[in-house]
Amino acid sequence: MTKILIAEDDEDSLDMLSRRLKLQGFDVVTAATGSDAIAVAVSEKPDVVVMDLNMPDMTGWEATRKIKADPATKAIPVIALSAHATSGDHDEAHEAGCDAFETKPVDLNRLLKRIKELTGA
Amino acid sequence: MFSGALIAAVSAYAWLSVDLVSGHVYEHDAIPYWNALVRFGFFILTAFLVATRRRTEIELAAARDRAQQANRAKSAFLAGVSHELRTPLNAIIGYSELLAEEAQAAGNTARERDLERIRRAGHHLLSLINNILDMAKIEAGKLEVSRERFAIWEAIEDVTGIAELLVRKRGNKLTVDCPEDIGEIVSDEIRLRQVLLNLLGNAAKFTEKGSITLTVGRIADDPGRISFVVADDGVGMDEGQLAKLFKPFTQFHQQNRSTMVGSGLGLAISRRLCDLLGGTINVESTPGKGTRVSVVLPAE
Repeated sequence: MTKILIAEDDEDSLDMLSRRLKLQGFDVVTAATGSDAIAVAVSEKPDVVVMDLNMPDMTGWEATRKIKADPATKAIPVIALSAHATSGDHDEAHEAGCDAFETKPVDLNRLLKRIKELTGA
Repeated sequence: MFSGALIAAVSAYAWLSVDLVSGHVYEHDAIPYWNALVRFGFFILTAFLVATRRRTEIELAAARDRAQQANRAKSAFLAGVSHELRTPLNAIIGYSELLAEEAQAAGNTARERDLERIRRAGHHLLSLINNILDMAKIEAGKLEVSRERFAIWEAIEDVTGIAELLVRKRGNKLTVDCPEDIGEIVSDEIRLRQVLLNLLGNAAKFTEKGSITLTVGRIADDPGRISFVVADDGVGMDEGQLAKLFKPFTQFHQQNRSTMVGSGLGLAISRRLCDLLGGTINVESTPGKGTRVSVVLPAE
């Protein structure tokens, strides 16, 4: 079963997205902060990370950079999730090493398509 | 300023006619002095005019600075508010979709229509907020586009999926003509989708039980450019309406309806986006016959 790590600080968004992905048959693990996301990525070895970019303690960009810098986790694809659809976010996410970029509110079909492309599942 | 000139003129006259030390009054040949006085007068007058004009310029610049500052504050405020509005809206849309998905998984269709209405209203509100945010960015000169390579056909497929629902609402039929081997474009996928959805949404708004087509192709004599044409056989527009079409906050009444729908910003934003993407947008329309909007973008 494909394991997805969702890193998201907003409680509603985290609850909603994890329930929707579980409903689609994924194994979901969560993290509420950027530093948490790095720790869970190491311990749980997810197949893909869905990363909110705007988190308080450590932004999604920084967390992605760290995940991509660690040999143990750098192969895990990261899908960036941003509330602003601005190209600034988009470009920065690419620079940080994100493999794909999606905007909020999540278009579930697009997100599923990205997950499928990135995990080959 | 005027009193200064008067004092200068009076004291010049006094200097010309009175010996300041002894107080004796001398007789002079007046002509050279009058000549000097007239020149001096012209000098004062010129100085006065220059000073007045300079003061007007300074006042105008200050007023312009204040107006620009107010406009920047307005744009920043709109951007901030729009962002704050989106967060709870994301939860409303997300949970209505979650409930619909859970109900579907459980085979319970009783609330399907109601949930779909919440979802649709949420998306409508979201697009209005996004338009206001984009317009604020355009006014602040901060609207930007990204560039990356993507498959045109896939983007069109995505757009068609969303537009189908919009178009069907008023009994219209959507036909999409895009060759599957059209290849790739280097552009901003999110913004291209936004422009096409806006054009298709407009076509659907002003057409009833008609046909709407989206035709995508490489331009025959210039394959380095891609054209996206949205055509409908709806109410169309006259010259006067066409002239106002791209102005922000312009709206036209819908057929058989007195209310306006939308923010009136869609086309103003679409045109700006086409500019930023290095392309063009053109509209042709005949009242009663329909409208044809063509967007041409560079492939690279």
